[in-house]
Amino acid sequence: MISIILAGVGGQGIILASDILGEAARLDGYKVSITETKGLAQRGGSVLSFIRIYKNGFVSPIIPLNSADILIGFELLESLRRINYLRKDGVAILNTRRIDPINVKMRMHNYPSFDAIRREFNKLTDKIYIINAYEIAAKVGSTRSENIVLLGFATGLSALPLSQESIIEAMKSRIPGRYLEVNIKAFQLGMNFAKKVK
Amino acid sequence: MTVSKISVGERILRKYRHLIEESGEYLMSGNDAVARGAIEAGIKIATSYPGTPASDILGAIAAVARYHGIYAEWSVNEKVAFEVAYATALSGLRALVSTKHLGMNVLSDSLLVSAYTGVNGGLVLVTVDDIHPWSSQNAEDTRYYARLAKIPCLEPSSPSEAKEVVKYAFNLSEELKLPVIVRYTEKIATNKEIVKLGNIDFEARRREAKFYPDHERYVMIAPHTRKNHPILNKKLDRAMEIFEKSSLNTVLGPMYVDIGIIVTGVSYQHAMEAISLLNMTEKIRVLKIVTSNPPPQKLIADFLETVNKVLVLEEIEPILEKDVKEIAQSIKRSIDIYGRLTGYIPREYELTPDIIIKALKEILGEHEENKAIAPKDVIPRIPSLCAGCPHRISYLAIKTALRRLRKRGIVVGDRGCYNQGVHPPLRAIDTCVAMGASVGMACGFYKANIKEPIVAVIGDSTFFHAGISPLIDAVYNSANITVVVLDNEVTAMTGHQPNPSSGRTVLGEKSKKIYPEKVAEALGIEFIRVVDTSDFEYLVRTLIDAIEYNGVSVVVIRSPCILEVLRSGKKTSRYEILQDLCIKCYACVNITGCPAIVVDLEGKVTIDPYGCTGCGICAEFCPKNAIVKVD
Repeated sequence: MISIILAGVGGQGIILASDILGEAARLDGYKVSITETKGLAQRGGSVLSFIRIYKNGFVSPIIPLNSADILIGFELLESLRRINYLRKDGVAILNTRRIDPINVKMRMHNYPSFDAIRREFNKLTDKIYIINAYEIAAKVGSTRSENIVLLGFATGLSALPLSQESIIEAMKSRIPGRYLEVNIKAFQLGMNFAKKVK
Repeated sequence: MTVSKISVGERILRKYRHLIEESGEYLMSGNDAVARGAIEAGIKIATSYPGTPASDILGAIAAVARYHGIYAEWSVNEKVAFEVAYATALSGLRALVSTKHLGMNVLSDSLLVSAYTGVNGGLVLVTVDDIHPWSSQNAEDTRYYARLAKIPCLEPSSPSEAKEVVKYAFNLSEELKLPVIVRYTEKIATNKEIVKLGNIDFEARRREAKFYPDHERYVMIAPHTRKNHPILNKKLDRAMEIFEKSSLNTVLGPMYVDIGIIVTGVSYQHAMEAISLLNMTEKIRVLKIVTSNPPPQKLIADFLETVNKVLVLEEIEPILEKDVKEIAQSIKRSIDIYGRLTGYIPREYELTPDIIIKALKEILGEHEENKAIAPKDVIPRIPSLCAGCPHRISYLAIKTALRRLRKRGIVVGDRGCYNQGVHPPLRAIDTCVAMGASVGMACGFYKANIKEPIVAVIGDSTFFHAGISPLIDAVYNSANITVVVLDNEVTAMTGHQPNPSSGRTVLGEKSKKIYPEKVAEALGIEFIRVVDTSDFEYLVRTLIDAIEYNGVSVVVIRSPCILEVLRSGKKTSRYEILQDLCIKCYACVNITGCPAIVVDLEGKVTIDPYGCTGCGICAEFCPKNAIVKVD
């Protein structure tokens, strides 16, 4: 069984990314459990998704603490918030995107520095992969494809047990036709970036 | 008869294929699976009032309603939703009502009497209990209502099971002639798994509505109620008999072991993973109960004979745990019972595999090693109203009006997106309790003789749901309050469902648009103003007049939800900050809290051109006029 956690902010496309991974896993013959905690997603709140890809047995909709194999952090603060789900030596994919909440803008709280966040992950694992998915998505002219760049990156790192073909097939079933091409490009750019990092 | 002649669009097909196809396996959430289960059961009518996390059940059915020849509606509130479905069921057709737990409070009045008349066609009431809660104002357990109403309650443990349980519930409802509750929690509503489609019961769907008057059965005056009460009790006894033998309840694991688990709902999945993580599959016996009301007493008693200790897992009140205690006493079986009553399971919040692992280890006398907790200093992410949200402007206008009157005022809030106005920097509402409570409580603050202006704020959907009766009370009992209706013409909070203010129905049909100001007029309210958020100064002055008016004043602020405006493809303008004029006072951030305003690491303030929707409220508060409209 592989447990994946996606952490980010409402509007970053975490729910679509989860559905694509789930559908790809189904196409690859796995069982899947996906649970999204949306809460106030539309209002820029925290969004969290648990994805569990397995062959048999029982899985809870909730990933136990310290046991996710992969954490894909769509936003830095949210990555840090969910670090306790990642297991020792798990894979941490960190998007450098920073979305300041109002409490940071009002100087009620300080946003933790990138180095401080990285240090926390370093205590847990060496498998930390860093990407600026927002910037890469901007290259295909669609910053909204940040989520797909991250999926491409995770696929390129061979972090997921899923085939590239199934992910693309899953994208076709979930993304409206007119946005498909740009998203497939975003996926490939994410894959290419992984090759540079590896 | 198989397929409908009506074709569906590409968008519907992409999103709701699992509700259209005849066979196959699809990734479905618990709510999707319930929608599919109801369609397979051959429902003719589905009703609901939006409420997270239950809203997408009706949303999904409505999207394919035409295709299947089903009628679906967003009713004005849950009570009406229930009554529409109940009358459908009295007429021999199958009907589904769906709601979140709080809707149970609203519909309970009719539900509790409907048990005495019973139904003819299947009536299934699906309730999603947000017991953590993630997006609700309380954490109630609907199972108490099932007991209060004396009707059966079923608790599926996964999306796949939810689909089957809904179909079973329709058959049970027709067999017993009683409404049946299917109850599950947020984690099943949102959990997605692969679910296999089943056949649709076309025979049930083809039934014709017929109502045969039977005064003793349907007219619930006291003598008839007295006659029907024993019939209701017998039906419940019959339910218990059925449940004792139901294959929905299952036993897993070896007999005669030390520890047993009795579990309902999603906790079953948590428990099974916990058992497997602890390598205790061969050491723990598990009884999963789906038929939670009435609880199958003999089944539970027999289970208690096979174990020495029992852990009871349920969400969220210790209802089953108390049943187990009672059953153990009645069979004189001295057994250790662990659960929420004994402190092994926390009394609040949803369960997780970790909580169950910890409880099992404690029962075994082992100590749990410390799990890594999130770094303690992770700052919160405080949510905010969207950039360009008209509620932000309305709240700032109310605050400005009160400030100019040199009053603090009490702003009585209500349920909807606009309760996000409580967060900093707006801090704009002082209470938020229940649908429509803003107006009733405003009357109360006035009658209690609070010497401050009292302003109730209520959204359009909430006004129609439960805000009109207290407004009548305000007029009838001569309150001196101001009621501000934040009319954005849609039920935004729960996913933009249409309501009486939208002028259209969930089936996409045009409907009569109902205006809160006309309701107010009909009540004889003399101070009524209808404004929008485009002219801030005019809005503030209107509110000052309304607050100063002696009596009930109503201000309807009608501005569409900005997300609806953006979705319609309408071009919006945007604003920018002239950097040479900006003195970095941060008034724009600290007063409006607009998420489109960005402060960079050096403290420079800009407006995100992709986030700004051109409402211009930040410009109102810039002391240097450094914020200007660009296009």
